[in-house]
This record gives sequence, C-alpha cells and structure tokens, in this order.
Amino acid sequence: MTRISAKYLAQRLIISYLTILVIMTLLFVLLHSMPGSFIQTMQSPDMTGEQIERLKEQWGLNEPLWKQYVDFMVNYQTGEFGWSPHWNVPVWNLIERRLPRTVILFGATTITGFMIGPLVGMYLGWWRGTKRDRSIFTGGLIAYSLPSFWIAWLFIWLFSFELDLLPAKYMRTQFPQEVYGTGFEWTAMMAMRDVLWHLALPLLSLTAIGWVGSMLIMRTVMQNVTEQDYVFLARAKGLSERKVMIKHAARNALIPVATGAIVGIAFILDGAVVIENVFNYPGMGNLILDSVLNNDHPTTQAVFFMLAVLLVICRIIQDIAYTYLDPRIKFGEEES
Amino acid sequence: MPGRETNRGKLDTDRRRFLMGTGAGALAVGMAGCTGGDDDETDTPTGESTPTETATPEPVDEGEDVPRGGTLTVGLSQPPKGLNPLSTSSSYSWMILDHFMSYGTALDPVTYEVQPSAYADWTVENVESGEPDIYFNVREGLTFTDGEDFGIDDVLFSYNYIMDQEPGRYLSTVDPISEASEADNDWDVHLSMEKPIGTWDSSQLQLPLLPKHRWESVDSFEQKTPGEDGELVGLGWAADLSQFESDTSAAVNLRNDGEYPLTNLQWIEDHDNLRSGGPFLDTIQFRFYQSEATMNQDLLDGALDTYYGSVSVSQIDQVREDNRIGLVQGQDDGISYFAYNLRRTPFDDILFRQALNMLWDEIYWTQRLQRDLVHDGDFVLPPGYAAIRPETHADADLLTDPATDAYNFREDSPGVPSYEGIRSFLENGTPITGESGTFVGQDYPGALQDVSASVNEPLHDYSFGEVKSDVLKEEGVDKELYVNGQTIPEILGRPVTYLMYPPETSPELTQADENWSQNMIQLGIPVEREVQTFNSLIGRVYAQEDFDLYHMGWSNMSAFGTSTLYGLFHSDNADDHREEQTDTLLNNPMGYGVFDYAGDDERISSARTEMDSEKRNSMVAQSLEKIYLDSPYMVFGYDKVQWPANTTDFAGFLQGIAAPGSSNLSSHFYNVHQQE
Repeated sequence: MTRISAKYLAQRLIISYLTILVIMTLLFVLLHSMPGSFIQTMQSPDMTGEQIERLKEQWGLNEPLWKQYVDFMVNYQTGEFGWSPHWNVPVWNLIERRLPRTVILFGATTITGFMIGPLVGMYLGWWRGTKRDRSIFTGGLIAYSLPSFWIAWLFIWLFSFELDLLPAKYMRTQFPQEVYGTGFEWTAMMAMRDVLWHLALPLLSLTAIGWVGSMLIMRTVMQNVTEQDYVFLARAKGLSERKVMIKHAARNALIPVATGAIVGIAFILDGAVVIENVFNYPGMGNLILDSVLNNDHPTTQAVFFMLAVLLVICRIIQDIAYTYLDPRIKFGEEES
Repeated sequence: MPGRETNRGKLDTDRRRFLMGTGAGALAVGMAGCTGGDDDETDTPTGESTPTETATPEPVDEGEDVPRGGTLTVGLSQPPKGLNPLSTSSSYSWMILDHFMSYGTALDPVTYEVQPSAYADWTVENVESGEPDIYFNVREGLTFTDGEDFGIDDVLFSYNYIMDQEPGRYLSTVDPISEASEADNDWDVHLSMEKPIGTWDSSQLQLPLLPKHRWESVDSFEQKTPGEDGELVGLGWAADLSQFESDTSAAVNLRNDGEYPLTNLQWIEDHDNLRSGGPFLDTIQFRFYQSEATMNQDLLDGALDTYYGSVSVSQIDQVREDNRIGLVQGQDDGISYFAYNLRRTPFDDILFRQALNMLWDEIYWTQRLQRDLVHDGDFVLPPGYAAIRPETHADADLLTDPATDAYNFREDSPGVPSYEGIRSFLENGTPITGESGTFVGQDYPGALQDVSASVNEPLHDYSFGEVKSDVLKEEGVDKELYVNGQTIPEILGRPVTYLMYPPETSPELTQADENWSQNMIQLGIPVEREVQTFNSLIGRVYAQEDFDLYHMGWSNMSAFGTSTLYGLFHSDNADDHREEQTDTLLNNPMGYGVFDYAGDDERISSARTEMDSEKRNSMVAQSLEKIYLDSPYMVFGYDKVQWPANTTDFAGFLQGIAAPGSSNLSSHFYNVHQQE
C-alpha cells in the first residue's frame, strides 16, 4: 500500500529540517537588521547610558552577535522561545493561549469553505457553460475579489448594528453575569453555544469568500475529468448521471482540492491578521500585529518561526497525501 | 508614578513614557475657565518634615453620604501587557494594577503635590554632604488586599528586593539608593542615597510596596505573573481580581466602606473635588479591545461607561449627541511637536528655526483641522502642569500671554504667510532672543523670566535669489533661499527632508504637514516629504539621528519637569556625532545641549539635584522658556481633553485635571460613585 519509500521520507525530513534552519537564520538576520532594539520600550528618559547597558545585559543583547545567533538556534530547537518584553510573559504562554482560538475560527472556516466550495465546483464543472454555472461562477469571482475586511465590516453593520442578531467581537460573553444574571456558572453546553454564537459572524464573513478558491479548482478539474475515458465508461455502463458525477468524476477531481486544503492550513495565520483585528478576536493574527507594531522581537520571531514550521510540515503531509489519493503518484521508488 | 502610555492610537503608545516618576511635586494650577484647580496651594518644602498623620484616620462623614455599590465598565483599546508591577510599563496594565498599588507617597491628581499615603511623613537630611539621608514613617493599620497586615518589614523587603533584582523599569529610581534599612533614630526607615535626587519624594518614595509574604519566595521578579497565575495582591483599594482574561476582560472587586483608609487622609478631605471615604463602587469591569473604533461604538451602544483616553475629533459629534454620556474636560499631559536636527545646516541656526516656526499656520491647525479641540502650542510642557510653566512664575496668563506667541503664524491675509516679512527676518539676521521687539510685524514683549536664547546672533547669512532647485521650479516659486551663498540642496545634497507618518494614520496632521511644507516651498526652501512608518521613524530619528525635521505626533510628558528636560534636552541623552555615531536610542535626537549654540545643560543638571521644590520649579520654568527661544522643538498643540463618561448613572468625575481619562483615570476609581 505504501507508495512513499522510507529513504525518500528520510531525505524529505532532512531537507525540511535544513529549510527550517535557513528560515530561522533569515528571521534572525531580518529582525536584527531592523533599526533600534526592543529594549527601547523599557527605557525611561532619565536612564543613564550605564543603566541602558545593564538593561541590554539582562536581555543578552550585549553579547556578540554570533553568540546571540547560536543561543537563538539552540533555544528554538529545544522549544525555548524566550520572554516577551511587551507582554511580560514567556512567549510560549502567548502562543499556547492564542493558537487554539485561531485554529478554532480558521479551522471552522477551512472546513466550511472546503465543504461548500468543492460541492458547488462539482456542479458548476459538470454543468459548465450553463446559465447557472455562469451566474454562480461570476458571483463567486466577485466575492473572491472583495477584501475580507470589507465583507466583515458589511456583515458587522448588518447583523450586529442594524439587526442586533450576532455579536461582532470576542470569542465568548465577557461578563456572563450581566447577561444571564448574578450567580451564573458556565456549563460545557452553554459555553459551546456561546462560543458558536460569537463565531457566527467572523465565520460567515470568512466563508463568504473562503469557499470560492476550492470551488474554482474543483470546477476546472471537474471539466477535465468529464472528458476522461473512465467517465465515458461509467456512463456506458448505464449508471445514473448523478452517480457518475459524484462517484466517478468528483472523486478523482478532489485530489488537487484536498492537497490544496492541506497547504491552506499553513496560511491560516496569514488571513488571521486582518480578520482577527476587525472582530476583536484575540488570536494569533492579533498577536502578530501587536508584536510587530511594538518591536516585540522575541514574539515576532517565535510566531514567524511557527508559521514556517507549519508550512514545512504541511508540505510533507501534502506529498504523503498525494501518494494515497492518487495511485499514479509514487515517491522514492526505483524506476523500472 | 508608573510610566503610562497614551491612548492616541497605536502609533503614540509605548514610545514616549515620560511619566516615570522621578520628578518633584509640581503644583498644577487649574486653568481659567476650568474647574478643578485648587487655590490652596500647600507646597511641601523638601528638606523639612512633612505634616504628620501617624495614625490611620477614621473614616470621615463625607463619604457616608455617597451612594455605594454599582459596577463601572471601562474600555481599554489594548489588552494589558501583564500584571507584574515590576516589569510592565503598559498603561493598560496599570489601569488594573493601580487598584492594587498604593505607594509611600501619592501625587495629588489635582495639584500634583506630593502627599502622604502609605508613609505618614518623611524628611531628608545631610543634603549638603552630597549623600542625603531620607527618613520616613510607615503608616500603621494598613492591610494588603489579601487581608494580611502591612508593615515596616514589607517596606524594607520591597526596597531591598527591587535593589537586588534591578528591574529595568525601576533601575533609575533604585540606582541612587545605597542602602535601605530600619532607622536607628525616631523614624521607621532610613534610605541612604549616593547622590541628591531633587524629586526623591515622588520617585524613591514611590516604589511599589510588595507583600513580603507573597514575594519573598520569588527568586526572579520576571517569574511572577500575577493575574496569569491567579494571584494579584497589593496595598490598593481593590479587594480582589475576580476575573482576568488577559486578552479580553478583567473585573476588580473593590474594598468595602472603611477597608481602605488611605482615601480618608486629610489632604483628600481638604479637596473640594476629591471624595474621601472611597472607593464607593462594588466592581470595576474592564473590556479590552483591539481598535478604538469598536471601543467607541460600544460606548455609544451602552456596553461601556467610559474608556481610557479621550474623544477624537472624528468621534466627538456622535458622543455629544448621546444623552447618557457627558464629556469631562481636562488638560493635556502631552504635546504635539516637530523637532529639528541641530547638527545640520541650516537647522543649527536659531534664526532659521524661528522662521520655520512662523510659517506654521496654527489657525488652520487648531480651528479648521482640529475644530478648536486643541490649544496652540508653545512650551515643551503642557498647560496641565502649570506650576512649572513660565507663565506661573511670571504671574502671566497661561497660554495667552503674548510672550507665548513669539512664533505665531505671520500672515498677510488669512492662510497666506507674510513671505516678504519672513524673508526680511532671515536677511536681517535678528532672532528672537528674549529681548522685546517687533518681529515680522508682531510685537514680542520679551521673555517672561530672566532668560535669553543660547545665542543672540545667527550662525549663517541668508539671502534670496535665483531659483535652482527642481522642487521650487516645479512649484513656480520666484526666489530661493541661499545660506552663506549656497542653496540648501547644495549644502545637504538634497532638499530638506521632512519625515512624516503615512497619511492614513493621521489625516489631519498630514493636511497640516502639507500646508506647512507648501509655505516653506513658497518662501524659497526646497522641501520634500518622506513617509515613514512609526518603527522606521524611530530608527531614523532616535538611533541614527538621520533627519532634518520630523514630527512624532503626540507625546506624553512627565508632570515633573526635571526628568522631561533631562531626558529630552540634556546632552547626556544625545548622540554626539562629532566623536562617534552610535545606534543607541537616545531621547534627544536633536542634539540640544551638545553644541554651544543651543543648550541648557547646566540649569537642567542643577534642577535635577535641587531638593527645594520651589527653586526647582523655577529653574524648570526658566529652562522651558530658554528652550522655547532656542526652538529645537516647535510645539504645535496641546489637546483640550474631552473624556467621555456615563454621567447619567455615575458622578464624582474630576473636571479640569490633567489627563482625566488616561494618566489620571485611576484617581476616578476611588472617587466615582453612582448618582444619587
């Protein structure tokens, strides 16, 4: 069953590791080439030069650059991300707290988008050229061209300000006693319902655009698939049109969509920066923005490092997934 | 007092924290037309013992009439950055921490006098020796928020712990203390100082007082993450931190009637507009936001009672229309300014800088762009800190005395500068040095105090002639400025470069920038504007000092002139490029004080170590006026602070004080109460 050899996998892992080391080096160089230092946020105007030097010493910034680099490489590989000068907590605490929130929101968006997009793409690709195809395709393209924050504002205005139906900020009710009465205690079910209620608007905003990407891929691939021999064969066997479309055509067309979804996970943080800010959603996107704006180098470094690692891991998973989804693809086997 | 951020958008936050309490009790006098000024100035002459209130006072009647209970909900436009009092300098953190932190001395939010708090009285001796001894008595009968007694042991532990750990935030405060020990005379505690610090009563006596029983097992202060680990204990008016979600919200329960004796002190009782006997509310809730727009919307929707900051020009109409919300008027605790690089020709010349100041159209800025919500600027400390302003020391009207208008916009007709007049001013070579006279058609009465500019002659010769610069040719200008016979591009290798923020961060300021640079161009000065993001600007200006002129938007200033002046205008904090260019971030990028032609180092240094507050305030006021004449900065505005608060349901807001909704917001937490 295995279509990927152990040797290939080992090579792939080594290359990925080296890629991560290169990315770490680039991160270090980029952040250290920025003017100034993050200790400026801790300086007070009446500090003497000697006191500033002591502050640098406390943060290891007086060490030679090569030593700072070695420390950084070693620490990161042992999972030590240091301390955030801006938030005054270990960087890992920030990531640990914020990452799950982003994963919940964008995970839900990814799942919703990849449920709707391929389904719509399948129908449009199958019925390509029809009036319905053209109108939905055009509508999708228009949605795809709109900035996500603009859609988000529009939905906030409509569903939150005008209709007062959905909350437009936070991940859950902040002071539940005010809403549900004194002595209120959260139960698991209520907490889940509350989170879903708060997720509705950002999820809606993101999905309004998010489904289009997978729809476009699916539509194109479906059109190619409909002309394949095995589809003609399925039809010739007398199978229903619906069965041919779903079981024979769509199943094969899903391969690029599925692998695209895997890499799409790595870009979750990318989209989070804008949307989390619009919805006051305390996730990784906000953390990136805050740490960059406040010269919080340790946090910035760690977040971008995690993003890089996530991307590299997703690429490996994508390769492996290819071999399972498409029997024609084999990695690392001797050519016969 | 701890360093505070501003709430003028993210660009202004975290950068210029000049409320580090290393200053003296400046006496702020309420401005004309504003309530809140205290006429009964009772300055505390340093070097003498302060009025003694050794015993904890009984609650006074006043507080008994005030309704108790209720919850005030406050918005913060950013989440707090940790709740460790030794490491965080975020104002958003201190909005919560302030409930748990009382200090040895307190700053009167109305007068900025240093007043008793956890220390009942204090004195300083041996000032002449250069190594003064500070003594104080610790107030009895106080308890920490967890109910444990507070005493001398906690005080000694706090000093020694902070001196040992050296947290960056308090480094400059503990550095001059050589020893903190139990006094061997009638006083409780003795601080041995290595050098005199003029503002000792508001710096060395305002270190955080840590509960020994909670901190003695903490090997490194950074390990402590109060709030995160569920515990936050201090000496303030809070009962406990009942909720803390570091990214979204917090709730602080306040102590009950009589449980916090420090609001029953005589100085609070003596105030007309401070309530003794507080806190009066049950709970203060905080909601944290990522954007000011969302926060403002929540205020209008009724989800907030107030927020940290003040209303911006773009939001003020909406807030005014809301019947639930009232606007608490206050004074600015910061300034809006431009700064010149005194290392570069012709910015090294007082005459050139003054001419540029006269091209700034303050009417366009204050009335058209800011809709009269700002005052025209002058000195480098805002009117909220009136006691150290020159007008106070010359018995002149704050902000309106003609001596504060030396660089008014010189116009021929509304909005059109007096180009010929300013050209003549440059060609004639007579700067405003403090002597009375008429300059470009406007009378200047002379300096308010006995001060004059660093030089009374210009450094360069100015003339106007044929236009050579492309910038001016493109604009159809008929004359170009020549400095010592050369155009500015011939001297600098390029036109004057004006560093500014991206327009979207401050559209009004960008319009004002455009107006000013156009005025310079029409005068004959080739100018180009270069947009820089905030972080890039910080590097260019503070690390490399690579600029001609820049603006930093709005900056928070310390109530204590000495630390502001030393930080911003002393040569110790300037990179002297004549010897070596370093990338150290120093707060005086202009280089004021580095050169003979602009500086006031001697007076600024003397003021720092002057322990008599009256003399010190006078020296600060003189320095302010000298800096105004030398013009390394052009201060172009002070905000007329409008702090929105739910005045329908709550009362007790302090009108007329400096920064009521930001630096002084905490004072409201023990004053505000439900409407009767």
